[in-house]
Amino acid sequence: MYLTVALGCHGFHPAAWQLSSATNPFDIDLSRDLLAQAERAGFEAALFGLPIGGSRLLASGLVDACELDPLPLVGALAPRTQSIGLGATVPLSRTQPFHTARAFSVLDHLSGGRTAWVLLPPYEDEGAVIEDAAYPALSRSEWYERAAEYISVVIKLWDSWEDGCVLADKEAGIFADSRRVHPIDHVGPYFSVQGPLTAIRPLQGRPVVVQFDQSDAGLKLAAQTADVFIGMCSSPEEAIALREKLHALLDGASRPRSAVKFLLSVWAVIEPTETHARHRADTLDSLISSDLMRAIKEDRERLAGRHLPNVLSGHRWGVRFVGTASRLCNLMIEWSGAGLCDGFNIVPSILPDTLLPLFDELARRRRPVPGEPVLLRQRLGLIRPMSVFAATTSATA
Amino acid sequence: MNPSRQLHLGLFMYPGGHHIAGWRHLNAPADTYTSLTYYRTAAQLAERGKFDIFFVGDTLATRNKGRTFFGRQAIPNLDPVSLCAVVSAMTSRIGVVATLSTTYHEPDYVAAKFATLDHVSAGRAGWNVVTTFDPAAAYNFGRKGLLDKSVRYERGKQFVDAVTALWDGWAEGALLADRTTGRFLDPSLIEKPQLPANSFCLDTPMRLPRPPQGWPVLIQAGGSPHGRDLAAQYAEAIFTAQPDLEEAKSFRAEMHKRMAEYGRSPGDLAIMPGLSPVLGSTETEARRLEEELDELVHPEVAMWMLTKTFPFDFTSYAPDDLLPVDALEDLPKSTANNATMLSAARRDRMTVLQAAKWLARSRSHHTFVGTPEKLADVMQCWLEEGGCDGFNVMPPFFPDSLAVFVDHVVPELQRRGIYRVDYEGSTLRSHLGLKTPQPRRAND
Repeated sequence: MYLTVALGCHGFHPAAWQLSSATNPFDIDLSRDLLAQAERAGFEAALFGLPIGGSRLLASGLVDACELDPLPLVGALAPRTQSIGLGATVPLSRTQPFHTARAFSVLDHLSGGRTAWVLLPPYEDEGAVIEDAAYPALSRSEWYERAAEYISVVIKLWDSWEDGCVLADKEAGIFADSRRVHPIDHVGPYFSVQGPLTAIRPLQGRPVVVQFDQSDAGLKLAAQTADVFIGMCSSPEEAIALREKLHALLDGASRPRSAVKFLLSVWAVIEPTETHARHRADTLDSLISSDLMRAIKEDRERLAGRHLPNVLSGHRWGVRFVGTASRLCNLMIEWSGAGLCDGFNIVPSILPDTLLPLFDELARRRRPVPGEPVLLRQRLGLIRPMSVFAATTSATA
Repeated sequence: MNPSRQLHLGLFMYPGGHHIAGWRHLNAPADTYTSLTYYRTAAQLAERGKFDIFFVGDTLATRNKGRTFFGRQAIPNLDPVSLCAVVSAMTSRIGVVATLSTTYHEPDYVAAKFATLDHVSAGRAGWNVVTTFDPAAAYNFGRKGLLDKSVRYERGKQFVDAVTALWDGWAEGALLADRTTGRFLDPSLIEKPQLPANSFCLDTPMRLPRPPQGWPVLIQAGGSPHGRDLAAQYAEAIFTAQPDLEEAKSFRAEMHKRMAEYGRSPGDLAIMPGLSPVLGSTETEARRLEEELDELVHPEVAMWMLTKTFPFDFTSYAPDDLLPVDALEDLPKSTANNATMLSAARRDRMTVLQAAKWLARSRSHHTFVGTPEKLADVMQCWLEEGGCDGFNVMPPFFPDSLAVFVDHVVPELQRRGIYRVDYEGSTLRSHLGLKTPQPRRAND
């Protein structure tokens, strides 16, 4: 069973900041301590930059809808952690594939192969709704085309330096084998990128690609490009149906079903007893004032038609769980045992409070923690892909 | 008596080292440019030497020969913001300065990146603002070639205006986190940038509180008139190539004059020329190291440097032919840096290969060869004569040449009372003696 956790500000309930024991969500030491516990609890990865709410929520002043840029944040956390994977979102609409490929390459090397690229649904990030001459309004299907092209360019750039091409031969004065570093010469409707990347191929070959967009177009994109898919389902039946849909698309894309790990998202309130948990959940919801409710509605209307996770009570974040850590662990074992999924993504209602009892419980249950440094891909049972250019070189050599 | 002016030091981090053949030196760890240890060692050495800055440059295109990747000299530079974020986690005092191009990014994203870097480093971030002159970079970003310099710099200025306006968006007190009223922010104290003349579309305020330093420190590294003007208006530190003291003095005087036009005073800017120290415990030992490094410059690499520097066809020249100085001087695109090189070539009657090696060795920066005491003399002289406010140290290779500098030059500078014995503050602004910018508000 694979476990990931979403981290951001005070947690994934709009009133979380009012109950959180953390006073400064930007305190890097707090994140470090939280990640140290997540590592001991055997979490495979922590994911940063999942959207907490749109700009209307920020403008209301009632929600902690602030966020550090996930890429430098992951950089600052890499040396502060040992084994946990570190995932970051990137707003596709406002960035260039070259920069994204390069940043992940560096972070993947310096973290010892622990990075993951978390893709937001392409039409959901804030940038996509900014009307700007440089970013003409695209239709929804065009945003998906653009996202698919973006991902393919990033992958080609990662692959542009083949494995083993760095010789560092001081004697001969050859740093890298020129025949094994390739321009990508990509020309497409949205991007034109010559390459090669100014970065050595990531340690994982390609950082783990995580997606959670379960619209039809999103699933199709995931079937082509995802390594991990996080499903937001509210019942086991929904999960089964979603997974079947994904598997059918994978079959169609000629990818093995095991190539994409299917995790279920669980939005959670966790307390020492069931009564405490229910009380906590009620308190959270009671803190949603009428003003805050209005802001949430406005935000949702502004992003109408977009599948942004519903910030209210988390039901769009997947399974809503209110209870003890022990019961959650049992539930997860039961569901993964029944073959519903390959693991879970925990979306904590309140940070760090929700996670602490869960960490304790998992540590008690002795989830395996790697003793030696290991690639995130390996931990997730994913193969390390060959460079797309490797075949061309050996064929012409 | 006024206390002596103090030197500021930056470490210019460059994988493989600043000597183009540095990576081939026996003591250089040539295959570890992507390892955490390589950067941790360098950053912690610099911090032990009480440096102001750990600085990372940028390359947005690989080193090629024509269309072909040039494997002899292709050590990639790591993504600067990512590397600085990582380094901030392994250090506690030294400033972390990342280069980022205004030509190939968007301001809202850059503002968030540096605000984040400033938050996670507790006020140690700086942004080296460049417009990227390498024409090859354009082809990685869907462009057909280099934008005209004036267009690039106009965009650059508007870009910096936009980024700083985003940083200023959150006024003091905007973050309430008041649990009794349920108000996390005071929206009236958060505004989107008001820049009527700015061509960037900035619809939403930054989603982050104002950086701890107000603005991360702004740095500039271009030496052209456009670059100088941008620096006069915004830069709080300048990295510049100044191999000659007299020229450095007039450059510094000119910058102070240009700054005055923008109502800024000399104390608002630290001018830090590049300085590549080739050190030995005796003059002979230092010269031996220099020769050792020069011999490691592969002729192909030297010629590549030459053809990259001058848009001139050298194919009909043999390595031992005299450098065609007259023809090169007539080239339209001669820059200030190249003029220094050409006058040296004329004086010393350099061959094509010799000239190429000269370029490969110094990249037009100031190279010092000698003992730590003599280097301290030079640095003190430059400081006292008004040639600089500090230096951006460019070790020929890592980590050895940096370690020698830190262990032997730094104590000498400290003994002379022209360099800090310890950090006094914990932010990059405090190291550089810079003021925290007052936020500009729309209703000011």
